[in-house]
Amino acid sequence: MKHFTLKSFVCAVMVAALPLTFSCRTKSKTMPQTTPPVTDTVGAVETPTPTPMPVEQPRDFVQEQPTEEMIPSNLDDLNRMAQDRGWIRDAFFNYDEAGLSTDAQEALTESATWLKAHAAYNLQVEGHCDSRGTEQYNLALGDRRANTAKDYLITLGVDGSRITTISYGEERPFDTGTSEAAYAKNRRAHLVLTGR
Amino acid sequence: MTQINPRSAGNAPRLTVLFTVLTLFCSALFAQQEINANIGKERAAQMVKIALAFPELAPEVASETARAGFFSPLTRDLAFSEIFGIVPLPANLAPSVESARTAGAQAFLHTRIFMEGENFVVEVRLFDTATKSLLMPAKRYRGSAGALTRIAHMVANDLNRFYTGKPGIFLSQIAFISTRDGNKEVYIMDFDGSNQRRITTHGSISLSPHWSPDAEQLVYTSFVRGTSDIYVVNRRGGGRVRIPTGVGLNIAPSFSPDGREILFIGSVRGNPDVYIVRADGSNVRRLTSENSIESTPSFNATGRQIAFTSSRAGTPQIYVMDAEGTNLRRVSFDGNWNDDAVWSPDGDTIAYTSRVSGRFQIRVMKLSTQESRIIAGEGSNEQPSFSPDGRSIVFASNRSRRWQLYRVPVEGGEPYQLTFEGENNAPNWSNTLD
Repeated sequence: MKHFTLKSFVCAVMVAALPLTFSCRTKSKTMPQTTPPVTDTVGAVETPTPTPMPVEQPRDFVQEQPTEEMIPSNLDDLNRMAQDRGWIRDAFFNYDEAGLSTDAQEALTESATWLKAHAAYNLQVEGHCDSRGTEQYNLALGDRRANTAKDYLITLGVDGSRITTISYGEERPFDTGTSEAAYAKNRRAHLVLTGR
Repeated sequence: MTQINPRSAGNAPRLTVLFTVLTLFCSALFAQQEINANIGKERAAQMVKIALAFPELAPEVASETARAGFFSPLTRDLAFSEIFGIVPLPANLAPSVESARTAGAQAFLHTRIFMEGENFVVEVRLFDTATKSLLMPAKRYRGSAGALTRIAHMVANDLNRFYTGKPGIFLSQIAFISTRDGNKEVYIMDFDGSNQRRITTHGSISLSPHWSPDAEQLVYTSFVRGTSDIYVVNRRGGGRVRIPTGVGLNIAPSFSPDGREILFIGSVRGNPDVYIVRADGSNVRRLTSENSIESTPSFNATGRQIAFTSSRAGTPQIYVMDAEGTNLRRVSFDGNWNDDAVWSPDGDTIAYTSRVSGRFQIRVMKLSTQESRIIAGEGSNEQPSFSPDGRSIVFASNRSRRWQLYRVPVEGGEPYQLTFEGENNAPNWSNTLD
């Protein structure tokens, strides 16, 4: 289901982008163009279809529309896409630790960049643990992981009032296996976009 | 569910108890486990040697109903008590005070079961085999078919009280978490695994139930609101209230021994600490202030001391402090992960989950000497809770590949399996009900 949704979405974006690419190429022959930066339009959440550009342009050329990421209005779809494209990335932890590794800091830095550019969303940070510890201590450890991630996002400039935390301890593993690889997947601060 | 009013012929207090019918599945398993009930055979010399006759049944009472519902649980209770040694009646003689005496029994228990309308009536007589006189006044217990096992526990309690002056643990209850209906919900059961029934229907994650001292209420954590919160519910599943604490996390709640306060782990900005709040949600106080992770606080029986887990020395270890947060000392030094400390009723012993060679085990430690020993066994064994008489521990184990609850004598021995459906954990044993 997840793959289907993602694939169909990617296909849809590619199909939608085709005419743009095409017109861009043809236009570039007639005039110099600076490619506008790829922006994710937050307003698209309220209006899922891309807002058409105003057409008050000189008649002799057509202004290229900025490439817009269509942000799904459904939060589940949005979260899948945001994780898939690395707009927001989870922070992973070492065993029985709540400190941020370099990788975790990098993941949160990228997430902070996106969050700051998309004030229409709030964030819930979920703290998760692998199943090797005790249930209750892991809930407390998950709380610390979630808050460590939250604090780091705040130092990167994300408004703390947009961020809530919850600890699931070992209650909701991402991988129910018992290998080190499975355990590693479960030791994380999972970032979930929520509505405002 | 049926409400019944079991009542004795004497001036016993009126008890209103909820029952569910014991499933056939469970009774089959109990029959299979009866062999395990010969706990403490070596102590037989100090025991009251008692012979039990199979109940004399009125024609309308099915023999299997009397056996599975009443006689088997009563036999198991008495065998479990460590007060009674059960003497088999000679097969070639009709059960009587005389044949019991011949078999070497000091006491003979005669029971009779008949119907009064919809209700079963169990009539009990205890005889001294030497004098052939009644030891206790004849007593009647009344209830639906589903209540027969409860009645067996009441009879065992009364016999225990007659010989020791104290009720046994037979009417105590164990609260726990089970996934058998799809989500982690709160359940309760009798001390022997009978009468298992669900208390919550949150359809969410519910965790760590803990009994109030009068065993009327349970406090637990649930994620039903999308945050983790503390709830109190009565043992029939009604009267649920959320206890607002003003802080986050809200896990591992437990009642104080006077029932007026709730001890728990709260968190502000990712710093889990031991907190206490009045049961009405007022007067929240923080009892620890280290910048470490604290977990699973537990009052001793007097309410003067609290055991809890802290990572302040680098790994989760057990600490004890006075109720005000003073006189702190570390008590666990074995291994790199200890949690879930609980106190024995006499207050000199704690039991906790302790990692040993990569697996969790139940460790029992005498605080006065800091001597400890492991009492569990195969698999991972976690979350101990003492019986109200301090003689047994219930714990969760995955030794059967799934998480189930087991009861074991505190000095060790063969664990007795209490749950069989779904994944089960977080057992908490109530005080004795009388």
